[in-house]
Formats: sequence, C-alpha cells, structure tokens
Amino acid sequence: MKGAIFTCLQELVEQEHGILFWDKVLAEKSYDSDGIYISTKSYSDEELFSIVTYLSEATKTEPSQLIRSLGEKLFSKLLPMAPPEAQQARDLRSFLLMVEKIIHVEVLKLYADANLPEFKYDNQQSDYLIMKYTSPRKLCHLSEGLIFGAAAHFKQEITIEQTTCMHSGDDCCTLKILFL
Amino acid sequence: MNQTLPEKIAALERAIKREKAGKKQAETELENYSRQIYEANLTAEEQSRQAQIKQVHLSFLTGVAAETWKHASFDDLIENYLQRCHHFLDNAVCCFFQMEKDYSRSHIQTYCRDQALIQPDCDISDDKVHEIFDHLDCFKIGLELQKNSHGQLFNVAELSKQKHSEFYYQHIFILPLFHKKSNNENNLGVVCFFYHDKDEIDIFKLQTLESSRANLAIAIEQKQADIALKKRLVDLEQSNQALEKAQNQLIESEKLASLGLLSAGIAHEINNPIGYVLSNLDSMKDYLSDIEETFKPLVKLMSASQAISFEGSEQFKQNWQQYDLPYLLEDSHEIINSSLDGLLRVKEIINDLGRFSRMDDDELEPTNINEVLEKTLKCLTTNLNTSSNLILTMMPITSF
Repeated sequence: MKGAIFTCLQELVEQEHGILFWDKVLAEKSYDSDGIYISTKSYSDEELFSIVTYLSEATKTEPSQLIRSLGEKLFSKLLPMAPPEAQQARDLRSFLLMVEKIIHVEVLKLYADANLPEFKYDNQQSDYLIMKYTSPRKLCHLSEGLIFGAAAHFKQEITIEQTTCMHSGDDCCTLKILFL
Repeated sequence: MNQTLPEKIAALERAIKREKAGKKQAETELENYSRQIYEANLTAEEQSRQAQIKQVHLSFLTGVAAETWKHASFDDLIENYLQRCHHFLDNAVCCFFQMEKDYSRSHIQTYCRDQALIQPDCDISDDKVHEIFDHLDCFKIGLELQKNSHGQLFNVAELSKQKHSEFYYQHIFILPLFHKKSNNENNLGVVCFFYHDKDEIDIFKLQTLESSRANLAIAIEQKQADIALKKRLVDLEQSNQALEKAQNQLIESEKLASLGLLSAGIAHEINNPIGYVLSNLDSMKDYLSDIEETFKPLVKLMSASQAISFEGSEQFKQNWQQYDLPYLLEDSHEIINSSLDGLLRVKEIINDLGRFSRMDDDELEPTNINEVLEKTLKCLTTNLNTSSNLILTMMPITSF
C-alpha cells in the first residue's frame, strides 16, 4: 500500500480527532513503519487494516464507512497526480472510464510495484455505469469513496449500489453508479 | 481525551519526531530518485547516441540496398557504392579495382573527392593505387582474401616490400566483392579504404560495410550475369544472321540444283527427238542427192538440141520451168544443211547445259574453266544485249 493513503488517513484523523488521537492510534500497536509515512514508499496492507480496525472501534464507526471517507478525501490528493487527459475529463462518466485504461497504466509506469485493482465496465447506459472491482485487498469501499470524491469534483450527484461484494463471497464487487 | 499536559507534550514530541524522521526518509527518497533520474538520463543519452549511430548505419545499408539495383552499368554501381562508403566512413578515401591472376590491377575506380579538397596530398589516383600496390606483397593480400572472403584490415608497413614505407596511408581495409574464376579469367574484385592513422578507423562501421557486402555482391553477380547475357545475345544474333545467310545460300543452291535437274531432264527429253530429226534430215539429204542424181540424165536430154520427146515430156518440161526445179533442188539442199546445222547447234547447247548443271556427277574433278566460261557465254548469247560489248580474256590452260 502506497504511503499516500497513510498520509491521507493521518490527515483525515488529525483533522477530525486531533494530533494526539493519531499519536494514540500509532501507540496502540507496534508497526514496521513506526508510524512514519512518506507518500512514495510502500507499506504493509496489514498496517492500514490494523489502524482502520482500531479507528472503527475507537470512533464506533463501520470500517466500510471509514474507508469510504478516506477514499473521498484521497481523491483530491490523487487527482493532481493523474494524467492531464484524466484531469481534463468532461464529466464523471468519462473520468471513470479512464481509470482502467489511462490512470492505472500511468500509475504502473511510475510505480511498477503498485498493486492496483482491476476494473471491468459493463452495461454502460446513459443513467448508470457498472464497474466490476477485483482486488485481493477487497477495498471496494475505498473505490466507492474515490468515486464519490470524483463526483464532488465534477459537481455531479450520484448514488452507488453494490450488487455483489467480495466481502460476501462474490468473485468481484459490482458497483452500480447511478447518475442523478 | 483526558490527557495530562506532560502526556500531550510527549505526544507532540513523538509527532514532531515522526515528522522529522519522515522528512529525512523523504529527503533520502528524493536523493535516490534524483540519482535514478540522473542515471536514467545518462542511459537515455547513451541510448539516443547509439540509436543515432545505428540510424546512420541503417541509412547506409538501406541506401546501398535501394540504389545498388538502380544502376544500369557495372561502373555506375561501383561509383555509387564508393560514394556512399566515402560519406559513411567520414570521407574516407576509397577505390575499387580488380586484382588479376598476376596480381596486376585493372578497372580502377577511385573516390576521394572531399578529402582531396581538404588535403590534396591525400588524393588517390589510378597511378597512386598502382604505386601503392606495386610496393605491397599482393600475393599475401590475395592469399588472405581468398582464404577468408570477408573484409580485412592490412598494415601497409607489414606488407611493404621495402623496409620503410613512405606512403601517407598506413592502413588499408580491403573488402572483397567478387571472385571471378573461369577458364579465361581469375580475378578478385575489391574495394579498398585508405587510412593514415589507426585512430581514424571505426571498426563498427567496417562491420556494417561487411554487412553491405552480401547485397552488393549479389547485385554485382547479377550485373555481370546481365552483361554476359547481353554478350551472349549479341553472339546469338550474329549466329542467327549467319544462319539466315547460310539458309538463303542454301535456298539459292537448291534453286540452282532444281534448275540443273530441270535442265538435265529437258535436255534428255530434247536429245531424243533431236536425234531422230537429225537422222531423218541426214537421210533426207541423201535421198535428195539421190533424186537429183536420178533427174540429172533426164534434164540433160530435155535441154539437148535434139530433144527427145515422149508422152508427157512437154508437161514435165513445162512444170520444170514453171516450178524452177533446179532452184528448188538447190534450195532444198541449203534448207536441209541449215536445219542440220541448227539442230546440231541445239544438240551442242543441250550438251553444254548438261555439263553446266553437272547433274550426272557430284564428285569434284578438274575442270577447264576456260571451257566452262565459253560454254556459259554460249548459253547467254541470246540474252546479251546487242549494244553490250563483252571482252573475254582468258589465260591459256596448258596443263589441263
């Protein structure tokens, strides 16, 4: 997992609960990184899941919701790093269709070790878009958050329905994005 | 979050510590990235330089491949190759020649245009090529080139027959292009590149030259085959013309032979009637003499002073005078003699024609040419224009 996600999570926690709370989160457990994160380095996935689990318990919030919020915030951090073509996308649909073919391709050029999820597009209707998410990390909620972040960027209102989910034993997570 | 102040201070200190450590790690990362980028730039620059060099090599090879086949003559083809090599090898002085069986040089073509402009001493002329190779051990060069049929770099000092080489050029790269070996010829076509200093030699470019050799060798082989084919075509055309001439002569001979056969046939057919007509006329001549002799006493009696008369004598006398019998008898003799002469002449002509056509004898035999000429002229007598004047002068043939 890239350090950018950790730094974003740190920023989110510090904004909502303060620096001391983040210090407490890190003090709860011993991490390989010692709580020092820089965006370009990679860190263990377990470290993120462990922090999220603790946060969930401490704040009594569902991990999925926490991850979704992280994704929503993360979008504004990642967008400046996206290829110009994606940054200049005319709307959310166009942007989402670029994720697999353009953004992920460019990310892999920069970070060959990045473990990116795979998206497949299906039933592209005018009022909704289906994105099938597959990743061993099962971070479909992070994707949802990122899509919500993108929707906010493009000033579009959406809802997302997950018809299948890997957490429920499905092969992939099916995200049905409804454009309102 | 009920924390005491010291706990808060400690927490902030830890946060600052993490921040500092993170900053240090980020700086280290940044340095690593900078170094990687620098090294990647160096690699990219080197790759770019290599790519440009390869592009030059490729351009040379494609140029040679594309233009080699366009040139009509062998000399043009070599001229183009020398020109391209000259520019590819940074204005290297180069020449082509054929090394003959006795190691002499022929078909020399040189190319050193730009170099000669810069430094006239570097100029290579046909004489200079002869001069250089006259002082080198060409036997050894020929042996090496025939042993390994690829381009080889020779050191002039090592190959020189003299102890000290005075030549400006100290190294020669020789590229064999073809080796013609047949009953009549045994020669080696080579391209030479002259270098003063070993540092001028770019071994990679020479390797590329070696690569271009195969294509050029095929083109040369093809061109030489074309030239041989054209020569053969000319020979065939000449043979064809000779054959046509011979055929026409044969047709003429056939015509003459047919004419001879026809003449012989006609002569044979005419000879028979002429024979019996001659015989009949001869008999008729005798009969006329006999008739004349028979009438002689009667005519004598009739013309005497005391003529004898008998029954019908008056009528006989009257007829005799009316028809002028003496004239008739005399003229009949002349007619018969003239006819006999005419027929004998016809017979003679027929015999001459038979001799002229020679249908009865195919074997060669001594012939009196004067006689043949005379007889031929006799055959042509009627065809000769009366206004024409034929003067025939013949040496007497004594030994025939």
